[in-house]
Amino acid sequence: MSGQGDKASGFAEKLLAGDRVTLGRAINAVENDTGDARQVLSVIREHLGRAQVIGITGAPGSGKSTLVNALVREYRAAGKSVGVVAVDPSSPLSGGAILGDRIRMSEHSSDTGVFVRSVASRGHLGGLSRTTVRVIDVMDAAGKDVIIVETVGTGQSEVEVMEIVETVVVVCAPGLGDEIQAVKAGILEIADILVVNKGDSPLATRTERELKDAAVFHRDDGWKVPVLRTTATEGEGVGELVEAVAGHRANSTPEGDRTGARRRTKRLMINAASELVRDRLIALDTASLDALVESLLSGEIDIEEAAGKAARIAVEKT
Amino acid sequence: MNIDQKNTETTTGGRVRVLLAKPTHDCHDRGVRLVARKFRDAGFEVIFFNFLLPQEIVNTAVEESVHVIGISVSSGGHMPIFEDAIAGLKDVGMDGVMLIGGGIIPPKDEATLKEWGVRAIFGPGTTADDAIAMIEETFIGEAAV
Amino acid sequence: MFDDSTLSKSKAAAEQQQAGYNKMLERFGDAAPQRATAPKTGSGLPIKNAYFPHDVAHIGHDQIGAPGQFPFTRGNLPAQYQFMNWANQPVIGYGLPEHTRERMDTLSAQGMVGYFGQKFYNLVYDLVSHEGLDPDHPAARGRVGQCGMAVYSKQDMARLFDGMDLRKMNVIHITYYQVVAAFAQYLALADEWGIEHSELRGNTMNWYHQSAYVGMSAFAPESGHKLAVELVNYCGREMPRWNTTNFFCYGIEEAGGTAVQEIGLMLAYGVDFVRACMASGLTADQALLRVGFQVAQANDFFEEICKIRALRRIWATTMRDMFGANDPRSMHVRIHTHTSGACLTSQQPLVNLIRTSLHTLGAALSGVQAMEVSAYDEALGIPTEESATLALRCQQVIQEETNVTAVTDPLAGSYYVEALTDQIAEAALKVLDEVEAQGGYIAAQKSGWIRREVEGSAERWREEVNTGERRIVGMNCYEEGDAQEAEIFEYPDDIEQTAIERVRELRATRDAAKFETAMQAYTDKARAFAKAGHAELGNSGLIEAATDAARADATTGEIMGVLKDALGWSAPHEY
Repeated sequence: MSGQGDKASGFAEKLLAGDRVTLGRAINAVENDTGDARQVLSVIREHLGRAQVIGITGAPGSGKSTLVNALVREYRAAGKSVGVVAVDPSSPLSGGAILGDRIRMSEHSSDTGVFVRSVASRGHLGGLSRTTVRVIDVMDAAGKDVIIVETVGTGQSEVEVMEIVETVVVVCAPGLGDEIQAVKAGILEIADILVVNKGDSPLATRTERELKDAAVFHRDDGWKVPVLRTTATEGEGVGELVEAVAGHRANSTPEGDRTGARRRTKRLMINAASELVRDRLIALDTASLDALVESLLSGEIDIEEAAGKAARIAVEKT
Repeated sequence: MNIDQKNTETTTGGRVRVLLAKPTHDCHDRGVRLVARKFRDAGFEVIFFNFLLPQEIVNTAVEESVHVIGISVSSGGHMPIFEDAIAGLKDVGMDGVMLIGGGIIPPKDEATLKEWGVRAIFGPGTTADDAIAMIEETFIGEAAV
Repeated sequence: MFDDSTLSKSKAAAEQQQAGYNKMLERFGDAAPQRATAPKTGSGLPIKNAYFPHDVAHIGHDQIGAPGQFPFTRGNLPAQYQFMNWANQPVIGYGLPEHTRERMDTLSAQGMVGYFGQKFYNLVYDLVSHEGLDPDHPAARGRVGQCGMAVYSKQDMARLFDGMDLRKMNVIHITYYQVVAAFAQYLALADEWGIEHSELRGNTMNWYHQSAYVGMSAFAPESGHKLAVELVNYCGREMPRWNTTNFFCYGIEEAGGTAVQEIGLMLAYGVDFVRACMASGLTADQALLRVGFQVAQANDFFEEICKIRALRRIWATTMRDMFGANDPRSMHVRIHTHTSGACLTSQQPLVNLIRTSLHTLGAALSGVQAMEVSAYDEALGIPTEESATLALRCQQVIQEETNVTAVTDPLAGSYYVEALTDQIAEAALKVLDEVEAQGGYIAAQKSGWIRREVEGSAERWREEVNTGERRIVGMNCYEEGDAQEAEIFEYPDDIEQTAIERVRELRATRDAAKFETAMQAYTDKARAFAKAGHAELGNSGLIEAATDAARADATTGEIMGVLKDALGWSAPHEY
């Protein structure tokens, strides 16, 4: 991966063939935007969109990692190769991180059909979701059949990460008030599948009912959000979850193979565009926007209209 | 998002990634877990895990593409672990990674391990700061100071 | 405790003393050491520079009592060491069963003795057993017979105890999570030798709860909890002389916990333990009749003594008030002291002899029932024969020469000791409250709270050592340039190969049909056990079936393999 031509072609072949060391290094390159990142991205461009990308999120303590572990087991039993992107929080003070999530997947650490990559939540140029898309893309091109993205916590950047996967699974634990937290964090709306994990708990039924009450069932895409119950520690309900994920994929990807890659790229672009507009508006001298603010205050125009005008100003001022 | 005053980026970009590994049978993990937190506070990305087989260290190092591997053993049985890990790393072409050790390693074993290419052993009497200094010096360079 | 006139004199005296003290403080100015300005214990509890009668006036006689009287602060029984010394229980175990046996015999010959001349053996299993594996598993390489004995079958048990009368000894099996396997093999040996299980004495630890603060692979907390309850039920029914459960306070201290955390967290586990036993149909007295404690004796001399006095008091009080424990024996805290290993240094190793002597004296003054004194080379490897003998001598010197055994609870009535005992008791009860508020010990374990609390203390300890606030001779003060050379224990060469050959031969020669039948029955029981709720525990037949499997020569790896499959087994982590 030094960038020399002869080595580079060997590198491309190795990466596309799923060579693990090459894959690890390619992820380093795209994660850190090193000089090799461009080369990696050009190699993989033609090979995207095959993998099924699943996001798992939920509040701490809901048993996400155990569920991911059980899902990996299920997909491995079905003969699929699996990539896991485990996003762990960084320390806000040092920027360092203890990426401990993979401990929970240790039963797969001897299995070379599983590739677990830990990603720290902070310190990415262009944001966590951009890095995550790139890591997913590299794994996708390297031939992983299923890629599971797990985020701990429900911060804004984690929610954004969930926006770039194909199927979002939101995990709640019974009786922890997680359903309320999920509502507060706005992750309930992004759920394609809701899971009550630790389903053997006596409180599971109540949580299931509360989630069914809170979930958005009639969505524009016609998908009805299922509420499933799992006991990840026992592997119970995991088969049903795999079926539901497949069902959601069939429902949302009628256009063919590259849908997943297209969709995550689109979402990423939308996020980046919003950020661009926002950053420019903040950087603008206040005079350009003062008139709009005055019109808003006097009730002359409404907020939607003002926002549209502001966005145009941001774009025109470039 | 780096609030720290000092540079914590490696010379090739990104943060230093360190794999800290402890055998699952070894109950003496007070030290290595403290080291993990100290490394985090130094701005490193630390992958901490317990392994049953040394090959798991190799697999994890490959997947996480780490700069440094630290293996801590305090209950004996360290020589075969290092031996297998070193051989496995060589097999996958990762023998360039910085390998360090910690825990209770007798002096004569320490000498052998260094012959095998283990960079340093951080045993009793050393602190996490000693290891941090060595890692920073290697991967971050003078900009760290 | 004191009349008004005594109290007012006490306060006046204290004021005078403090005034004088303050003058000295002024003279020292900034040069006054921290202990002069803000003294505290190793746990960080604030203390005073001197104590007076009025400092203990708030402590009622009912909280101190008398030796042998509730709440047993001063000791479980009316007598302490007058009729019998504490039992010598050094931890023994390395290499093949024969190696361990040799060390048992050597120490026995050196005077290692239990109660009333009875033989006590405190035997630790090796790293491979703790992992629930056999010696020919790939992960066993380099670990066979390390830090414990390579005993993996009924046959190995027979080698270990060859020619001994199991009825006339007390065997402590130091197991972590492989309790079922080791216990089953020991019972199977008893059967083979025609000994009734009810005649056996010993202990199986039942240390599943340690996975809250010890980072090794383990059963999930809830499964471990169930296994613990099952064993208590089984032994209560079949083996009335067997000690079922040991509360592993020591592990908390070793993981970096404070004295307060050590007893507070174990009290909290005790509460969850009794609750679970009661859910299975036992009374509190049945659950608690045969339990013991392994407690550390660490550096802060008085705090460690007061910790033990406090533990006796809060345990008895909590078990009586919360669960209606009534039998004094089920309110007693029977303690095996393990002098702290974490306090020992690899620098200047002989200095550890001085530390362990102080730890041993402290344990003796606090009135414990048995002791393991760490060997001076413990920070370097397992004890050599020389260092193990010296550790035993340390106990013997204090038992035979100091006359501290003549008087029960000799420090009682010291204003400082009584005040600090009370202070620690209150602080530990607060830990119990905190754990209970989270739904109990198992819940606090699952959330990672216990681990975080203990690690927080470990981190503070390290900081204090790094900054020099906590002084450790040879480590951050009085260092010596050249390391003192200590002889490090060398393992015999052929352990691993022999253990592998033995287990393979066993598998090849045992009655295959008998083995298969027993294993199938045991597997069925294990699967049913995995599904059983707390109310169904106690009659699952799990231990009986495991014993049948051990009779049919099932190995540790085989017995544990079934249990791991049924219950789940994973690397340590916060849940």
